[in-house]
Amino acid sequence: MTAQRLFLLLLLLLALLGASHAQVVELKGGDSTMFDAGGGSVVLHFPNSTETVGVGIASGQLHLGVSSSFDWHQWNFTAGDDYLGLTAGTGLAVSLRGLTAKRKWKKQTLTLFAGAAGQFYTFPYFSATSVNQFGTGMFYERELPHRLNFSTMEVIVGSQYTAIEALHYLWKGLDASGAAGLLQSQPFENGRISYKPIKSLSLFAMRQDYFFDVQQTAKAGTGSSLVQEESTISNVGASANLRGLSFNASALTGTTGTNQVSGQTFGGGVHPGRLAITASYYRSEHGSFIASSFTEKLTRRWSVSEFLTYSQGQWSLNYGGSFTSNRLKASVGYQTYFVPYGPGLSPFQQTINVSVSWQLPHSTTATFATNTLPNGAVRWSTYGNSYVQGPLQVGNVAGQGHTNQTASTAKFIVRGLVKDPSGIPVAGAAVLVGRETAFTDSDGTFFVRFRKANAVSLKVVPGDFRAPGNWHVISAPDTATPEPKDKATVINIEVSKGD
Amino acid sequence: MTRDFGRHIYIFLLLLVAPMLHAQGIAPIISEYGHGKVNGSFTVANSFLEPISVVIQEYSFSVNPDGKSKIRPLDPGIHIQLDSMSSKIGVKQQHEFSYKVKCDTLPCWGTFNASISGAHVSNGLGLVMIVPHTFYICRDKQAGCRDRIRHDVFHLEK
Repeated sequence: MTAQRLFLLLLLLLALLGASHAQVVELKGGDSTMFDAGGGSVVLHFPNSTETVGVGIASGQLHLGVSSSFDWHQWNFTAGDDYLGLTAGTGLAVSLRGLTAKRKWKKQTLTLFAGAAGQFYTFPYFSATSVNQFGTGMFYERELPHRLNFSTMEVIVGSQYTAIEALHYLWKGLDASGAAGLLQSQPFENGRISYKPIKSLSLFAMRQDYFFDVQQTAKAGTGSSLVQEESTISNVGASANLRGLSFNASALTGTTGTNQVSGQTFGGGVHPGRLAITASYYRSEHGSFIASSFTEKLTRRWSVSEFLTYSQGQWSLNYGGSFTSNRLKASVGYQTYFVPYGPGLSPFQQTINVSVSWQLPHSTTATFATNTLPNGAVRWSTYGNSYVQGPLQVGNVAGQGHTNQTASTAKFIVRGLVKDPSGIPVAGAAVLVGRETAFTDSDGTFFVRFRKANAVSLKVVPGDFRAPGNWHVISAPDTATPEPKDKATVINIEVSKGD
Repeated sequence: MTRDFGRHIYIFLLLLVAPMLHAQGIAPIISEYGHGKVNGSFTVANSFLEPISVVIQEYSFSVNPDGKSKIRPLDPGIHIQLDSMSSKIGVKQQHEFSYKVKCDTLPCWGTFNASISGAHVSNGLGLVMIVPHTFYICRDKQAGCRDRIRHDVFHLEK
């Protein structure tokens, strides 16, 4: 572990050294009991390349991710961690550490890889690879005539061979894709089809394999191990919209190991005015329940919800809602999922989801989320990211991502007009009014709304002008007082463009 | 041996939710409204690696039978109230612009042009990207409002 820590320290030092020369530095960090992982990463965006270093602990083990991506002679190369993905009809990806080369032509894409392959760990705040075997492979995708798209993935990892061919067909209301072949030397097939014979009716069928690692722990609590499991979900159904009413029905079957479950759902919804009402009936061999929701949109930002559930002869009522603004988004809600896991358990599981996300100044975003699972366990996750402009950034940085926060209910307004000395309106002039930055339109006018009529500071910011050139302020007031929108006077500002 | 039931479920939820995530420059591109009432919004997302500034301007437009559109200043019979007419948007962040529209006659239509530009430059050219959000307002029902205006007013095929 000491050698690993020294290696990580060296990498972080290199990342910090590189950060001083990068055009944009992206910083991420977070921790989560949902993912059982915590860590962080630094992404350095240079004009011709992108370097990534990620470090974190997942499932109790230290993991590292390093990659460098750059273009050379119409090829895109990635040295370090990458993945080879076959998305059409499969969702499959092979995790790689080595050298990946990708080239795109007008109707085809080729990716070649050589190095080592293994386990991929990806989270909102860091990605890492744990490799254990030599691997090499290729991915090829081509657009064919008659709206067909063909792709193939051929990979050798250790003694196991993966060869999957996929087709995607899209025509009018028909969307079909399928994949078949060998996945790690085991037979594999996936597919889905949806068809809209008329605008208000949709029919669909799908079969999808999911692969993931599951932590297995000894009953005595002494040690644990990761076990790869495969689940297959098949789903057939239809949905329709008729005169403001929506209906849906589906039949699902899921298999995980030797455990097979099935279920059916029937539901409908109506959207009268500000209300949205839905009701669904979920049925399986482990019982049935009814879940309904009543959501009322109180204002553009606020909505409240009631969730009524009838299960095992009892009604239960829960509340939720959401708030949305440009800086903050928060919601509390219930969702029902089909989870084919656990003998003796209903495949339909309800979770309580709480999510809060902030857009902060300086291009920074922070997110906090919790999920209360059917067994009562609460999983939380918190992470954030930020972008810092490096010294290679051309010109000034407009505003560092300061976001306006004006209210639609604001009754007061500051209006202005920016002109040059000859009286010609200046488009794209930046004016800081209070804490809000406004830009003038093609008529040279701007406005900022306020809830109160308190005087605010006013400052012209030539370094943020959208119009090119060196701008100077000739005359502008230092303060402005918001006035009722119908009576607001226009503040006159004069600027000039120098050499 | 016991399995971590909660984590197993959560992995499933992630697998089901992940394909729904995507990014756009402006959304929605088109909005339809019925019964003459409009209280709408659109969102501009910054997918660039530097902060951007956005200025919103509203216009009227017409489309000739060949399908070519012509933009003009907003008709005096259309009254628009925007909550903000410009914004700075941080890297990978987004901003929602909300609006109210009142038309003297129905149906009516118009477009908001969001002109997006990056950092200020002292020398050279300043690049501006314009993406539109178009609204259609009908006297009757919301569904199919755009098609009805295109057919009845612009004489285009549905």
